[in-house]
Amino acid sequence: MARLGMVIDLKRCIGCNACTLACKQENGTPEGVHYARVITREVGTYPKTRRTFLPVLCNHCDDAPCAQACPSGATWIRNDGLVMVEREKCIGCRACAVACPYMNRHFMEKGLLEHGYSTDGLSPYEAIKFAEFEEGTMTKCTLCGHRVDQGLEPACVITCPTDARIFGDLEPEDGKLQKLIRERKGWTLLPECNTKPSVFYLDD
Amino acid sequence: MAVAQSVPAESNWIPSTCGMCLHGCGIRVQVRDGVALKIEGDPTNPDNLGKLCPKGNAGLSRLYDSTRVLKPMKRTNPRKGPGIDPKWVEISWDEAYGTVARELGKVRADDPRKLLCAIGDFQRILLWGWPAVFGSPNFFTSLGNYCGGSYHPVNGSVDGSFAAINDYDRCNYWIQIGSGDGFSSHLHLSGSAKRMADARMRGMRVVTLDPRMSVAAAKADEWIPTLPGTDRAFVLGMAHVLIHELKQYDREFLRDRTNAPYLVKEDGYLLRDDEGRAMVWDMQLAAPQPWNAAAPADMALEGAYEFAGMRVRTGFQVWADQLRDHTPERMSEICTVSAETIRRIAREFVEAAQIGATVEIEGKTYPFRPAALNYYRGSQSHANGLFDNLTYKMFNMLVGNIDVPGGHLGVPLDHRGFFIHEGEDGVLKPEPHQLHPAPPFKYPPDSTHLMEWFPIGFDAGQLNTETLLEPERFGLNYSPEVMLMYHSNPLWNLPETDKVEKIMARMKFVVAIDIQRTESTEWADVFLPDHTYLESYLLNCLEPPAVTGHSLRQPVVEPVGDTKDAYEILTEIAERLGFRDDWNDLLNVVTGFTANPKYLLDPEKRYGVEELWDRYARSIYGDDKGLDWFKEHGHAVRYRTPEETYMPYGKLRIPFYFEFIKRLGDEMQQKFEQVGMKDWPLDNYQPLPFWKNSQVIEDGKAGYRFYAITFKESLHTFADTVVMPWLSEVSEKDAIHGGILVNPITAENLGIQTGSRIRLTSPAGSIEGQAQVVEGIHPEVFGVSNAITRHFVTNDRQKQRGSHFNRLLTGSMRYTDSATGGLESSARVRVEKI
Amino acid sequence: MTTSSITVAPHRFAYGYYRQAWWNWLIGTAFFCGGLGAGLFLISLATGQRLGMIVGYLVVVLGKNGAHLMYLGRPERFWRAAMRPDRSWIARGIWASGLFALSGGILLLPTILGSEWQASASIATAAKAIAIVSGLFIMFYDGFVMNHSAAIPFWNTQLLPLLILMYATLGGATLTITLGALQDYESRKIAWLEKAEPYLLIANFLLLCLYLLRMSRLTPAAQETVRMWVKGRYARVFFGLIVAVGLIATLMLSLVQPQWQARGLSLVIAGCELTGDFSLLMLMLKSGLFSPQTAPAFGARGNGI
Ligand SMILES: Nc1nc2c(c(=O)[nH]1)N[C@H]1C(S)=C(S)[C@@H](COP(=O)(O)OP(=O)(O)OC[C@H]3O[C@@H](n4cnc5c(=O)[nH]c(N)nc54)[C@H](O)[C@@H]3O)O[C@H]1N2
Ligand SMILES: Nc1nc2c(c(=O)[nH]1)N[C@H]1C(S)=C(S)[C@@H](COP(=O)(O)OP(=O)(O)OC[C@H]3O[C@@H](n4cnc5c(=O)[nH]c(N)nc54)[C@H](O)[C@@H]3O)O[C@H]1N2
Ligand code: SF4
Ligand code: SF4
Ligand code: SF4
Ligand code: SF4
Ligand code: SF4
Ligand SMILES: [Mo]
Repeated sequence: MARLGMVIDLKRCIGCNACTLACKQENGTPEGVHYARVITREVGTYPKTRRTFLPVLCNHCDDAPCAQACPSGATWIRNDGLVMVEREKCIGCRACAVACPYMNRHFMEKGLLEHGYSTDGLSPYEAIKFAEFEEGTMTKCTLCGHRVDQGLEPACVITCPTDARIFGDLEPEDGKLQKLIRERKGWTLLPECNTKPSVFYLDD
Repeated sequence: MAVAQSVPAESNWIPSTCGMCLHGCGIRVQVRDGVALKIEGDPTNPDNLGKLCPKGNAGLSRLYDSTRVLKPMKRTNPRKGPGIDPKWVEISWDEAYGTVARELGKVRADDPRKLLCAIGDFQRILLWGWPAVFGSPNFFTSLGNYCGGSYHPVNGSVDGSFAAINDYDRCNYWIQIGSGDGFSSHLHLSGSAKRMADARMRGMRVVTLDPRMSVAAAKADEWIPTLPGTDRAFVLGMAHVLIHELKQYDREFLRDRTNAPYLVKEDGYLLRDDEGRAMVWDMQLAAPQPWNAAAPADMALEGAYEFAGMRVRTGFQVWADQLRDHTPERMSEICTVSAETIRRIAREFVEAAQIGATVEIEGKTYPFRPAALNYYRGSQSHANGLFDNLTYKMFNMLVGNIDVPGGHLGVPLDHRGFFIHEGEDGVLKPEPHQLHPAPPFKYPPDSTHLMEWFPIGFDAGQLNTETLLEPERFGLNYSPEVMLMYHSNPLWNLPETDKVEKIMARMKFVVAIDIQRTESTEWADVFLPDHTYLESYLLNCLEPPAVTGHSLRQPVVEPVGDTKDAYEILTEIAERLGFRDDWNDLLNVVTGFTANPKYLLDPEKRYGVEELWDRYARSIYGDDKGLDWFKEHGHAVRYRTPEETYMPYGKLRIPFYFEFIKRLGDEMQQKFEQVGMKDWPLDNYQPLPFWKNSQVIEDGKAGYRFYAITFKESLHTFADTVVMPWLSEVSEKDAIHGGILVNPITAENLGIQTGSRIRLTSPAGSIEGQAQVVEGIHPEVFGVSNAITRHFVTNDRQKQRGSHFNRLLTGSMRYTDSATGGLESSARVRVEKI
Repeated sequence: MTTSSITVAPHRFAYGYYRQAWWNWLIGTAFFCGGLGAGLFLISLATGQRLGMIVGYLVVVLGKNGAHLMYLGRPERFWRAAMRPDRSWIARGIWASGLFALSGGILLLPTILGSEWQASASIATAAKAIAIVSGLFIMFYDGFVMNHSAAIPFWNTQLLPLLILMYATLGGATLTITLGALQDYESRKIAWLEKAEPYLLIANFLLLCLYLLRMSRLTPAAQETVRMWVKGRYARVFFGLIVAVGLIATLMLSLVQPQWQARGLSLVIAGCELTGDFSLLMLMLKSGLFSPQTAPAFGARGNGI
């Protein structure tokens, strides 16, 4: 057993959104759907001010409220910790979306797959990618399970220009992820929700 | 159990090169059944190490963009103008070529200079000479000089480089002025971001000067907001501190590796002996000696001396004297950064520079100066850009960090490396004109952008707005009638949009080679659609920091439409106009085939695009590494060796005292006097930089209270990519691209809130847009992201949230560096709520 | 854009509270119908109001389930919603709804088909028991559906199922009385209910106040919702529809007219109460906020200006 996860080093991250776009082209998500995205924020007042960048994706929570809430069993958790949606089982009730504290569920609204990003129908690329989706169902970051299963790292990880995203197994105490988390005092988002995220952050 | 995604089993990865910005990172493209499915960084390419910036990741949406033009078109509406529909109809290539050849042919027979060209394809820079073969010198675009008008000439003059970057691997203290290097823009973002992050992780300190909270500022250890165009004052103040207060500078470097010890006469020229050799002051002999006769240890770096009734000073002393009144207090008033901060940063910098330290790399000992100042467009794309650039370079020279480990490193234009030729007095020969030889002075001028009047420079396209509308002032005795645009959007990139439109309106015929409709192509009569980068061939090596060698661009899919490679298009037009032979000859020169006659193109033959690049590859890498080799391996990129990187010019000195600039200025003055032209400004031909107000500062006195600036960020290449929905969908969501940026204090004073409509008025024109209140901007500055500057887009979803920044800029000589032609890219504005 | 005030984020790339936008008026209607219908059914059952039982049954079976079905992205797979009662409150609710439909149907069949059809006593008793249990469940489980996860702090309290239950009871009682008033022959039997109504209203009001008080001391996201209710964009709905119309007007009218004989008036009372009830559920859904996700502002770097 493993518990796959990610460490995101906010000191390295430059908020470039390469992860956002890499995820988009890997998964071919339709308009408005971004599994990976960067929450940009301005803090402080001039001149003591900063722009901060917080790249987010599904946390593949160990105690995933989305899975708890899912009445159909469409949301399930793999042995390696990946939280997945089996679209054939999804009824589109959106209970998981309401339950996810991180806004990481994405609903395929009616009509969303009829048009691509271009105005005239689907591009050949979209025609292939959109076949993986179904309107009226939920979708989300799979931690690139399809890549992981082939021994590849997630798309957002390999593209990250600053190497801010480190992918691996959270289980081994002496693994690279746990080491980083220990040394740099890694933390997770909204710990008060007790979701036990598998995505950790390192301070800027 | 089935998961949501499955990867195509039989798919094919094709190595290629990114073309989403000019730099060309290595990519590989996953293709199945003729459809491109994924672009990734090529992990074998040491340039970008398998990484891609967001634009590189969005390439598929360019390839499959529904707004691409997929067939040649001609206009059917003879009326032209902004917002007027050309009523495009598709035509055959043959008809398109026929029309273009007929129209261009007429002009060529009459006066080939009447062709105005706007070419902006940096990756296919080998094709830039096409207009010259046609017979036209004209350059109608602000590409390269909007950013590098003064930068490239100074880089070329200091160390024979084209660009520059600090040593990511070894620098410990990095001052970044008006540049996105390593964070958001400039050189090869994908790989640079990794190098920068690694450097910061090992503890390198970053201090960023920018009027705005750029990413470089956001990630810096310290952000110092400045007023646009005043960064030089900050750095001159620091130079003052190093020279006059701390008295810490790299004496050995300045004495042995620059011309700083050369003696300067009162008239500004170097003291020379009868043989013309520059003299230094020999302290042992207490007399001047030829630079190469004195023992280095005896050479005076500082001091004023009497000799044969003359007062001479070392070049270093001249600058030191000039800087005596450039106190931090005085400079502080100009740039709004406190004098204490100027002093503190200067001290931190010189301490971090470890003057005197050495390092051994691969068995060779080099000076080690791990502190450096890096800068680009924002910091020096100003009307006194020459002084800006000289100041930054010379500040680096003060700590002896030029081209040494840890320091400020030259970056060559391409694989050919630096321009290294011995010039006068043991000093590297300056290369103030890198894209073509400096044109000889001519009056009346041939070129509409007056290139004959800029022995230093990078083709000042913005001057067209003045010369074409008032030709008599410049003695221009012809008027362009046709225009060829290729990968360039002059209506977007040039200042003074109204004037550009007027000029476009005068054209009898316009042809555009592009992939999509833009502000500019809407004025075309014939539109010739180019392949995108995922459909075409090219061997690319452009401004590579850290690495060298070519990366192949190759088609990964069949062309989506009935498009053609720009090389084929230009060659076909040349052929139909009867100058294909000259075109081949020119290609022989720019490819370097002339030095390698085996590969010379036969003027009588026509070469296909694959043949051309095959020859090019073989001429550089040998016959076993032709196009086929590249198709398989993708690239021949490797790290530059320490020898290629550090002091590649060996024992040659670099200029500290820029006598040649002064000389060129004096020569220009004579030439202008000879032709009876009196009022041409020549005041920036100075051998050393100092503070001097620019027209922008003067405008402030005329009631233009605020500044306006423009900027690039990682999601977009200029404003071109805002038509790409993948990218704009994301950038629209960042406040930084949400409107015209304004500081809350200023906003409150003016009664502005986020969302208020405001008008910015400069002496040149005015723009309207929506305000976006952010803390991260200097209270006297308004910021306009490129993402909100497109004024014509075919893509419905792209709403205009700001306005075209360049309307605020002035293209005239008053806002142009008189020595380099570099343009002023900031403006003074009045602001009102509407 | 300063740190001092966190605002509602316009999209998922922005920092701030995210508004609950998935569950819309259809879910609000389903919740409303579920609570109201089950309440009406059970109270009518207790008071022997056949019309109330029928209406309550229909409101649950058609209204609630219909709205749910309309809302689903893949309604044809609705049955899958029952797959995971072990962990999902929605699945449990589906079971409850199913059982309710069945048991309620059995109880109502004689009424509908006439007395020819008589269930055996034991079946009737079992059906009654099941209807009561499942009906009660329907009256409050929406509260658990909402409060189950910590995602929306404003919902994440055990007070919520109670509040939902109380409102369902209030709604059920009010409608029972009104329907009773419409058929005056049986109006006697519900006099005690009419007397209870004001106390129910006051209890609901107090519970609502308690709820908001609790929330105003909870996490910033919950506080922000409270702020939106009492001062912000939802103050008009809260004070106007939920408090003034739903509680105060209902209370006043029911005090003025302790016996709701006047049909018109009783309809007005019911209208007021139901408006408040529906508004409360809608507001609950609409104003649910997710907490902002945040990185420490300055980290180790400081700013040195
Ligand atoms: N992502 C991306 N990368 C690119 C490009 C692109 O469009 N997008 N274009 C390529 C090209 S051709 C070029 S020229 C380079 C340009 O690369 P950069 O020079 O890095 O880009 P800019 O954003 O134009 O300018 C840099 C910064 O200068 C700031 N600035 C503006 N005025 C002033 C000033 O007066 N003083 C100071 N200190 N700062 C100022 C701006 O706020 C901005 O943050 O990037 C190249 N790479
Ligand atoms: N306001 C403002 N103005 C600026 C700048 C700024 O930052 N702000 N930056 C300045 C700088 S530094 C520069 S270098 C210039 C750059 O300005 P441009 O040279 O105009 O920019 P490019 O993106 O190189 O060229 C854009 C054109 O190339 C076309 N194009 C894209 N891909 C292809 C292709 O594969 N084939 C062909 N044939 N055409 C293609 C696009 O459709 C578009 O018409 O702008 C300058 N102007
Ligand atoms: S790609 Fe990497 S550096 Fe860029 S925003 Fe994502 S995590 Fe940050
Ligand atoms: S982040 Fe959200 S979607 Fe992902 S596992 Fe956690 S609760 Fe589920
Ligand atoms: S929308 Fe689909 S995945 Fe989400 S809870 Fe409902 S059935 Fe499960
Ligand atoms: S792991 Fe894969 S699916 Fe998840 S955000 Fe990254 S690229 Fe997207
Ligand atoms: S930096 Fe330029 S060449 Fe490199 S991936 Fe980004 S857009 Fe492509
Ligand atoms: Mo540029």
